[in-house]
Amino acid sequence: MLYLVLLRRYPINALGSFVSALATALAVLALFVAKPSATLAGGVWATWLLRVHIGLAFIGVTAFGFATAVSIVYLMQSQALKQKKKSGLRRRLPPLQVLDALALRSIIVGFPFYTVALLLGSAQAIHAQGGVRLTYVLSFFSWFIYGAVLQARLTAGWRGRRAAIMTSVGLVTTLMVVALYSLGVA
Amino acid sequence: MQLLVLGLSHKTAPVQLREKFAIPEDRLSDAAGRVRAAGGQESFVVSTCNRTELYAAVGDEDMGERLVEMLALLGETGSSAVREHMYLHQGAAAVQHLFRVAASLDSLVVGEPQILGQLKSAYEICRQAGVTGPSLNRAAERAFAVAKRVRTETGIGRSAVSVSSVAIDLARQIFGSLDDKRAVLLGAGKMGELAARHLRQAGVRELLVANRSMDRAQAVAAALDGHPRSLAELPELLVQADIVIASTGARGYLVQRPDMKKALKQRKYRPIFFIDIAVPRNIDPALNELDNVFVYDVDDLSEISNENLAARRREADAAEALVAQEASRFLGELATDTVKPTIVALRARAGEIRDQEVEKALRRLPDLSAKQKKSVERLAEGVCNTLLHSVMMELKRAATEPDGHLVVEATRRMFNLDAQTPGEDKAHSE
Repeated sequence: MLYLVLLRRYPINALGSFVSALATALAVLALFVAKPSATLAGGVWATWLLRVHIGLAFIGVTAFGFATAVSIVYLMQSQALKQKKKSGLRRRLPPLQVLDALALRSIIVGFPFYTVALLLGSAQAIHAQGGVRLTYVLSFFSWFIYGAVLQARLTAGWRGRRAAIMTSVGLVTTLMVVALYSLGVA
Repeated sequence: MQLLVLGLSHKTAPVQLREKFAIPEDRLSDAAGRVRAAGGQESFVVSTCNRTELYAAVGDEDMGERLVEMLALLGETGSSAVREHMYLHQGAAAVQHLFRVAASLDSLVVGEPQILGQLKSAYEICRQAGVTGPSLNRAAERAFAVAKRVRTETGIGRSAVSVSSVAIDLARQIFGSLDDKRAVLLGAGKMGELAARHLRQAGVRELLVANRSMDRAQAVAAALDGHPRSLAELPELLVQADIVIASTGARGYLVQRPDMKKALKQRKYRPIFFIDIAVPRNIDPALNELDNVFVYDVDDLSEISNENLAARRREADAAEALVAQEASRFLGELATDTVKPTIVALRARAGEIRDQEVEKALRRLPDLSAKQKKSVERLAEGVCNTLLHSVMMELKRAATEPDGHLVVEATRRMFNLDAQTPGEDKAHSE
């Protein structure tokens, strides 16, 4: 959906395959997430809080996932431009700066959602008094990474390889949080 | 009615001859009018720097040669001298030719997009002057549609083939739009100026011209609506520029890796694109290894250009096939149209006979049940259809053959289709 809206604004037809792969992965994840929310102390209020938390986190993670996919395409395009030979690939991928702007924008959009989700999650955790778990640490770590990426992009002008790697690391930690949480491991 | 095209192009005539036949736009419809005066029923004329062509729909076959005389007069040369440089295509060949020209398969640079526009506007001028007609209109409209199909379905016009257009293509792959980009031209030679002009036309917002001699920088900057700079400002320019065209006569690299590394930090790693058209090269190729720095030299650019040309030639084959297929389809349609009235008349005639005979039979057999009546009707119907089927097939087949009109005539006569009151008198016209 988001992709279809963006398509009207940016010349990015070639991203379709990446985005749809991503969407599928996230949908599968969502199935997992939907399962364990039954056993919850604290009544209706807590259940609602949890739903909002999950909803916001979902939007944030989707945006980060999109940013990562776009960053990877950025690296591919950059590589194609440097090697000077793969003109077929080069022509199929969107322009470098468009990709860059898109990655930055999706992090900018995702970050506030993720932040609020994190705060709600913390409130929940404090309420539950469960002590420190791996998921808490990881989620703060990933939030910190995205904050850093955003900061580096906006002030130091980071882009390309370094930004893409950071964005991917952020996504992996975030997904780990989601996975651990849904499996009920930690 | 037959289509024909008579003309000369870059393939058959040298420019000294072509220029004599060049017709300015405001005289195109006059020329087409003269073709009509000479006996063509419909006509339009197209004239570009690579071709002058008369298209006409004519009633008789000898028109072509008469038009050669006329065209020779137009060019104020003797017809015998010019005849060998002209081509005359009639019927199917004319349609094929028109389609190929529109699809840019007959162009000097195959796949260049201008010819379709030129053809369209020439046609439009003549159409508005009222010298074209239904046959030509139909052929021309179809040619434009086919050209569009060729353009969208094959990659014939997709890739850039000149070195500057390759460079612009690459710039767009890096920056997307060039509207908010700043280009720097290092050196004020002819080649660099040309490349800078192309970039400017592609929409680059600002152009800075840096040269060792400030006078020359000023002159070139003025010509390109840019700003002159001194080469001494190079470190600063490396921070400001998005696109750098290097074409100085310097020996050794003007921009080295450490210079760029420093500039890169200051420019916050915004991508930078070097177009190094100088020989010897001005830009250290090692710069290309830096993140967000892209360096292309003359060889890189011409290699892509060659690759694109080869791709274009491959696509041209596909386009030729498409054009041939469309031309034969169009000719088939035209041909079927010529037999259509006969087929309609034949059906009507058969229908009349069938109805009369059925009526007669039913009058003689009043005791038939409804089912039996139906059978009689079916019988009549079946006989008619079976008999007509092979006739119609033959008509349609004949339509695509040169002597097809003979079959059409014979059919009309045999089935008495031209009689004033069909069905009443059996032996009629002779």
